[in-house]
Amino acid sequence: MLNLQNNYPMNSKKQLLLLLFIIATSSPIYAYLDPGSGSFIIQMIIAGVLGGFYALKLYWQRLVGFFKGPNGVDENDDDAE
Amino acid sequence: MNNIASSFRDPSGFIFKRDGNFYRQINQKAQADYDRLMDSGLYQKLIDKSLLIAHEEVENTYTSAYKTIKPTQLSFVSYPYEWSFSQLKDAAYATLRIQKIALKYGMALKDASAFNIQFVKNKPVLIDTLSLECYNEGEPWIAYKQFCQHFLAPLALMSYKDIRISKLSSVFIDGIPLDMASTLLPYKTKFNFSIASHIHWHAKTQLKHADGKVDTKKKAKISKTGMLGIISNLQSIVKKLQWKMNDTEWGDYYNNTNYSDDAFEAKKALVTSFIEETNAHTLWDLGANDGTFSGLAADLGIDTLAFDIDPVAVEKNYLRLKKTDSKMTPLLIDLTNPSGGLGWANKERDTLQDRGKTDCVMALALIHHLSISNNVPLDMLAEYFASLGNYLIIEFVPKGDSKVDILLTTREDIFPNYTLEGFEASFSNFFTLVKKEPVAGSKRTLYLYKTK
Repeated sequence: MLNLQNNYPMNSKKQLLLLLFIIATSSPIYAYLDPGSGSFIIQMIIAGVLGGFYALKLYWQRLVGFFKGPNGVDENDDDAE
Repeated sequence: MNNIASSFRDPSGFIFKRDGNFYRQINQKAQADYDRLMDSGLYQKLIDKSLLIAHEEVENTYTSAYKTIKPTQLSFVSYPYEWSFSQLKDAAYATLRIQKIALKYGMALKDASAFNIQFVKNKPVLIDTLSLECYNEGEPWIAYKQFCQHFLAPLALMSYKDIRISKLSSVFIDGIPLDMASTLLPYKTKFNFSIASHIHWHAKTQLKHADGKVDTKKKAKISKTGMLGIISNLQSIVKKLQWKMNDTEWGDYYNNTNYSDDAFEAKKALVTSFIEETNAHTLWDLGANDGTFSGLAADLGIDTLAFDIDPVAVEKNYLRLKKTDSKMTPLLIDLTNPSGGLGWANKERDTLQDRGKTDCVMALALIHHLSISNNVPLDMLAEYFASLGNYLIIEFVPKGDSKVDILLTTREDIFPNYTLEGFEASFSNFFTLVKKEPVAGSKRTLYLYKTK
């Protein structure tokens, strides 16, 4: 399963509570695709919920990994390093 | 400039051909992205996981280049409308894995087109090295809509409705429009959170904000965890989508042949000897079914494509082959309506013919389906096969063979030229006969022809 290392800055409490849209001066996107505003809006709507679930899943895997020890690493798991 | 016709949309670079090889130019403006890919460790990571095509840097051809790379050359390029369900599913999952891994290295996919994935030894691999660009936390995933249209929508439709919907990708070459997918999917999918958000609501917000009045570029901010949550959810739904295969008429074909076991083995030996004589490096097996005979070529080390019209045959073949190191790749093709020239000026996606010639075409137990079931005159058959390859191994299946008789039970026999003599006369216009042998235990004859 998962190893103990985790690359993500785990401000998960903040992220779980974060449902507000922040006006940010994000850098211009240079990619050539034009997905339309709708695509960004739907991402904003679901990112909060799905991000929360994801953070929970990582916590859980971290917990299980702690009990399983370092031999429980799955090399096909891209969530691990 | 000798850009290939499908490589023009991305200002970061393009593919061109030189001395028979394909190269990718990295333009000056893509320097930061390319350097990050190579220096951050992401390139090596993706190579180690067999998710990205390897390349070597070569000298520049054009002055506009920052770098020029030569990717591992592919012997054949296939398109999503030529894939079975699981091929598309594996390609989708690989795309998401790449995005997830890239995010860890501060990069993201700027596009998620199914055309960027190719199968190398039946493993899905990203061939567009320029797809990866620097990621700044907070940015939404710009390729999200393209992923949903190219991958999720067709997979969901194939799973919930009809497997033949994969062909829609040849009509809508930027993926199935989300509003169309939303209309076609069954009502119950609105209660599946993943399908509802990535397709149904996604389609609605597209329509609602098509006028672009909301300036989302300024407002859109999505944390990295949020983005990873979306990717994980997409992975989860892609993994869950299944295709319940109802056996088609071809499902258990090889249990219903008119060969005894000995005769079958003899045929395999005969076909093998014919293949060996061609010294082919590439082979296209037309009407390959479960790949039994394509496998003979693959076992000889030949890059083999096992084409079939039946999605069940291609699917079963792929599921079996992906666990092996086989040189055989199964693909879906209807020879009476093979993939056309698509896209801008009908040149972005090639016809089957354009992607030839192969060293050897193989057409076993096929000719009667084209000549009799589909009324294709033998001359036209010969001409088409000659355009596809340099050698042809073909089995003539005469009237009196049980399979032909089945085809003629419910229709008038309007095929006076469909005889051994008629066949040889037609094919000698386009081929030189190398050898022919009767197929033991049957009324059939196997021919080895060289294209004129």
